[in-house]
Amino acid sequence: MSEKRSKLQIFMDILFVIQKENGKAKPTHILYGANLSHSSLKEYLDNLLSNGFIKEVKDNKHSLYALTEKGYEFINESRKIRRLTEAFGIPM
Amino acid sequence: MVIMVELIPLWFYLITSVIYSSSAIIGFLVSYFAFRAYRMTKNKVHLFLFLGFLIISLGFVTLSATSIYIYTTLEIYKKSSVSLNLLNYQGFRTYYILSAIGYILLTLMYLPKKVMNKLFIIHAPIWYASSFNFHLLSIVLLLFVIVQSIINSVKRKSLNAYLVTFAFICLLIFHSLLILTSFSQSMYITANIFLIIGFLSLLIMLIRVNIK
Repeated sequence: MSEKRSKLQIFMDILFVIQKENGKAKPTHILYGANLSHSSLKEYLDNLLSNGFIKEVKDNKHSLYALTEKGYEFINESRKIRRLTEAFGIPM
Repeated sequence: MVIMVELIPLWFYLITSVIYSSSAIIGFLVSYFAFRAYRMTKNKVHLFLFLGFLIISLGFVTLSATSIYIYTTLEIYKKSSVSLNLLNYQGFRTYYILSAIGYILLTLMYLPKKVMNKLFIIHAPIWYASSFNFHLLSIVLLLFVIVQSIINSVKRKSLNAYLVTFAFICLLIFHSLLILTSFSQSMYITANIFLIIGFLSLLIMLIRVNIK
């Protein structure tokens, strides 16, 4: 049985999905990529926006979410931490 | 356990000082990265990893300072005394206390939250026992940490996890051989070789974590 994801892991999953889509992603892509419900997606995106990890951009009338410099830094740091915790076999 | 100054070759005090300093630096590095993890996640488990390695490293700083002082006194000032033996004993005793506390924290890292508080109470009386018991306590705690680490390595099959397991095994050998130092000085030398190999393994893991 898979363990329940922590808030931090969900933030990371969202940011990883956006990074995979070349730094910009549609909300629907994030929704499926990060395996979230509509209501929780909005809550997490608002949180990431207010903390400056992502920004909203317009592309051909579509609303997209793009990674900021702070978002990229967060991804790099969290990747290192994930590798460290995996090496010791402790939860993130 | 008392390690007599005369039992160990003098030239090796200089080498052990380097080994203990290097181990402390690598330990502080692990501790620093664990602190960064804790700062981001606020997860208690990361706090245990940070404090565990911080305290173990402080123990190695004590050993390093003791070794260099003994070397300086014997080699440069050509003085040998009972107080020097006592200093050596106190240096190791401080290290045993710090390492036992460090290993308790690393053990807590692998325990379910409910068990954590109870374990502190179980271990508390042992802290007042002799150096030999500190040693034995470290070995028992390390055995638990190694079992958890092996389970993680088998599950993940990643080189980083293997490096951590290998480092803990080297630390276990280090402690086991130190018990036998009273019988042979070569045990002390071999123990320290295992110690530095173990910490170098952790250093390789840290490099891989940061540049991969």
